[in-house]
Amino acid sequence: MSLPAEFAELEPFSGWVLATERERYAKRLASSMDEMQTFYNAAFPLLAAANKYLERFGMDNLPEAERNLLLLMMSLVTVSFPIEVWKQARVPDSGAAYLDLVSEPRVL
Amino acid sequence: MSPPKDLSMVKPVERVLKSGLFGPWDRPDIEGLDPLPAGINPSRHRAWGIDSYHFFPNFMLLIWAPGWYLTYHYWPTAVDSHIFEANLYFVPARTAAERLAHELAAVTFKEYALQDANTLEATQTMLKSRVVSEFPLCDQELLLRALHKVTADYVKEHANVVAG
Repeated sequence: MSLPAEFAELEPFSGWVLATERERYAKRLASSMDEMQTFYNAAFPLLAAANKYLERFGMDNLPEAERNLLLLMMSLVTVSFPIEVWKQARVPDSGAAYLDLVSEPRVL
Repeated sequence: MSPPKDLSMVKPVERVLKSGLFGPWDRPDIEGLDPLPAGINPSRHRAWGIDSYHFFPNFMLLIWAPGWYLTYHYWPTAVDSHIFEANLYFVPARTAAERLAHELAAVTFKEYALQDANTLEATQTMLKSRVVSEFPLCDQELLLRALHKVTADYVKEHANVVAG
């Protein structure tokens, strides 16, 4: 699982490179807060640089390493709520409700 | 408002990616957003953020100031359960960074929707108990009042037909 050279230090977190929101959300629910905090601590400081880097790439024929970086940062977005807000993996007070993404965007 | 007036009111990832519940803070570069069509933000309020339309019986359209929209469908499956379907429509991302901003908006939508779902569960549980027989609505709950008014009209019309 390759990432652009500038972001190679995130390769230990390649397990978070997941192609669909459903997979990313499932990994969030299956992870401990410590696991998500470790990922967040490594990835968040590189988010601004990654965002600026990704501005240079169009969505047509996105190279594999850049696609991996985008998917990894999408996972960071997914864990940002548990880490920055909820202090738990599940959305609090959501009762028995669940919300599944059944149709991914055409772009990506 | 988008972008937020007070950046301390949004979380760190939102400040980096300039996106969140209200969508990407920067409007997409397409025609038709400035000025907006006359039916959107009709009073031209400077602090306008969203217009929300309800089409009887179960379709809603929400248009956000930064240039994207949501649709909702409500599908009742029993008196105390339903399927809620939402679609988010963005101008297609030109760059991978724009796609990431879309993801943050969509992920944030899901977090808020799950929180709101809890109030629906509580409301439906309460209604099923039949302990409460009257439910006050305030003047501003126009769409909800219209929904119940039109539904009551349908039921009355059907009852009249059945009664002959």
